Amino acid sequence: MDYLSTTSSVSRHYRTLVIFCILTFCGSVLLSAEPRLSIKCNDQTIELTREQLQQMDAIQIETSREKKGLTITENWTGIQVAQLTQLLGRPDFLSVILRSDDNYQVRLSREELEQSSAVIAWAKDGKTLNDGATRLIVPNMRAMYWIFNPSRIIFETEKSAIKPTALILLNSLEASLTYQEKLTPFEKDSGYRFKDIALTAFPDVRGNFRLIAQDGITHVLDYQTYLENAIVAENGDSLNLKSPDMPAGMWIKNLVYIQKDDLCIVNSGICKDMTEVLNLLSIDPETVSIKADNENKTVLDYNKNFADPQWSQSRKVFLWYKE
Amino acid sequence: MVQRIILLLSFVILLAACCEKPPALTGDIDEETQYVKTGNLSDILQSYKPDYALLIASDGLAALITETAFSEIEIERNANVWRTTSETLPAFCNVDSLQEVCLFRIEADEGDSLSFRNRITQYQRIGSSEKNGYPAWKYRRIQ
Repeated sequence: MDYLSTTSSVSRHYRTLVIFCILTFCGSVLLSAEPRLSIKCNDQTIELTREQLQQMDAIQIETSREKKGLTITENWTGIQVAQLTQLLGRPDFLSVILRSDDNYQVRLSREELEQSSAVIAWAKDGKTLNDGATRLIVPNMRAMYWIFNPSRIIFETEKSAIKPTALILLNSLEASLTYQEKLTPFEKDSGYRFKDIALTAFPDVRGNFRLIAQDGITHVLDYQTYLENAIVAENGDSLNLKSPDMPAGMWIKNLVYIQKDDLCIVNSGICKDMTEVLNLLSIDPETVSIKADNENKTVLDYNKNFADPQWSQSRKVFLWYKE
Repeated sequence: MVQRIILLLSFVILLAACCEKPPALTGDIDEETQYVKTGNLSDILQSYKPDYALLIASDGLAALITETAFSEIEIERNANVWRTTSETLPAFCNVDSLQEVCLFRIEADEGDSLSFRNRITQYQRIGSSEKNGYPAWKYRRIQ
């Protein structure tokens, strides 16, 4: 009996200790979970709490959106994203990436940022957003850019993409790729793993890829963060990119163009000729000549459909830009 | 006696220097390791048909160049020092003390592509440049 009561007492103390440890751990997690905004440019990073953000010079902007046939006008209070560069000594940035905790990412060029007067807002129509939330508001741009709780802002000072100087058609790579019926974790999708395409075509897959959808929306995404586990699912001639490392809102429907460094891969099932590719890239066809070899000899007609033998005769074509 | 030892040592060092191998040609190639010759890089690599080449220096730096840039590079040898020279490509493509040229081929067989993959992961990109329409990327060996 004594033995039993001693065991029970030890077990009770042990339980109390475990509960105490759990509560202490949860408390410390909750305290450290105060939302912070990290702002980075090159090697410099600063972190701001929401309170520190609110102490900066706030502005008010008005936005109008069409929703279900109604025009919704909203007033937002927040800090201009461009103003945050003051904290980093006003770097001469070219673009900015804004990312939320769930890895949702948008990228704005400096021009887009300055023209739109994008803000990180903490109040709408005079009322603080729920649960201490913040929201990126980019007037005149689609709501897909208006991300909730941006937690990381990166000002980029280097060009994220150069003009492509070599092009291959995706169907010419297919012999080297393994078509998969079930692309786990997307069991219902069949097609290719992005990793297989990337490792087949590009010498160094680390870093940013430029991906363009048929509607012209461009994504610049880091391979290790977003694309290493991504799939390229076939749906007729269309390709859809999905990744378990991306929120579904970032998945790319009708992917037509993949670029890393100088080399691009084009889905000729959707992009029918070079003019369409150059349109996607906002490149004037008159400023580029397409050649079938690297010795600058055979000039190809960029108006000819990708089904024309001139394209299938060379595995890779070269783009030479006129000065 | 000491004089003889010094003479013998000098002879051994001289012999070793004379027998030093040229830069190795590695990566997505079917054959065992080959060696680079002097001349225009495009001519040297013609039979391998690579899409990119990583020019690796002995000091841990490297330059990744595209197929279009091969014809713009000369490989030279001065005594036992091998180097690449070019006036048209970004400056870091002039590699002093060239140690290895590692080739990448699009659609390389999985077996032989491993060597380029392995090699490139030992390096990290530290910059990029473009000159006369030729892009190139600078790398440094990861410590």
